[in-house]
Parts: sequence; structure tokens; C-alpha cells
Amino acid sequence: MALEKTPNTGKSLDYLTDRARRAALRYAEISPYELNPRPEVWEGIVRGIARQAATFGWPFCP
Amino acid sequence: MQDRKFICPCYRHESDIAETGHCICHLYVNDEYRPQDVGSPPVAQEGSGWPRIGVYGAYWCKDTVRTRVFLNRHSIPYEYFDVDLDQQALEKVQAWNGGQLSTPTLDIDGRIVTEPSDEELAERLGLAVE
Repeated sequence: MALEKTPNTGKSLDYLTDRARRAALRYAEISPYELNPRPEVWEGIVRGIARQAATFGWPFCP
Repeated sequence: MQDRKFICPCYRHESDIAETGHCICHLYVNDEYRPQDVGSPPVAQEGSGWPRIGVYGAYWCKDTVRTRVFLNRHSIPYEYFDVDLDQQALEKVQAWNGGQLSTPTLDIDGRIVTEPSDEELAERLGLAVE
């Protein structure tokens, strides 16, 4: 089954990673929650989310 | 789109954080959160007889945590590679699994084992199955 075209189709992984990082930081600002206190952990998860966007078209939970 | 609910932050993050202090992948946490501590891999002793084991997994992966806890509990030495932080590890896992990012994937003396149960792992390592 072909994947649907999304706003993320064709975007580079670096671009998607940067966007996922900014989205995570922004949500931590406006929500009652914080990012994981270990930066290497949340950075890794952000990369996982970006990888989902690159693979499936949407930034799914890894 | 049916999968919209899995877009980060996913549909269950609020209830998960309220219940456990963290969302399912541990990206968002509340102020009661305590980071999970799986512990360090046991140090390999010369002549211990254990095969060389590489565990390729992710912090947020429950099966990775389970496998590491199993190995630690049995004092079985291994090397841990986080696929989110190590691009080479990520590429290896995808190559071994037909492009899929399946975690944990174990390299046991060159034999690739994907997402083993504790029982399967025990059997492969010659441990008595409980």
C-alpha cells in the first residue's frame, strides 16, 4: 500500500528532527509537563519521532 | 486519518503521565518522574564462557528494558547500543530486520535474534528456563 502524501513527504531527516525538537520544546512550555530530565534521552526520542515522520509521513510516537 | 491519535503528543499522554509520571515514550514527564535506571551491563570476565552479546534497543522500548533487566539479573555481560543515539546501530538493526526498526535486536556471537522473550533468550544462552 502506498503511503499517503503528507506535508512531511520529501523533507530531510535533519529538517524533521529540528521541527520535532522545536515542537517538543514548545509543548513543554505550554503544557503542564516537562521534557525528560535527561537531555540525551529526550533528544533520542525526538530523533525517533522525526524518523517516524520520515518513514510514515507523520510524527508518530516512536 | 485513523492514526492521528498516535501523533506526538499521543492521545494517552495525559492519562499516562497522571498514572506513571511519564508518557509512554518518556518524552514528557511530570515533577514526580524518576528516570528509569536499568543499571549498567555486567562487566565481562575473561573466561566466563558467555557469548559476545550486543543489545540494540531504545530507552523508550519496554522490551529493551525487559531484556536488559534479564541480562543484568543473570550477570550476563553485554554491550548496549541505543538506536536513537547511534546511527550505525540504527542502520544495523534495519539491515538485520528487512528495514524494520525492531527493538531489541540482539547480536549473539554473530547470530541475530529479534525481540526475544526472556524464555527464548534463556534457551539460547543455555540457562535453565524458570
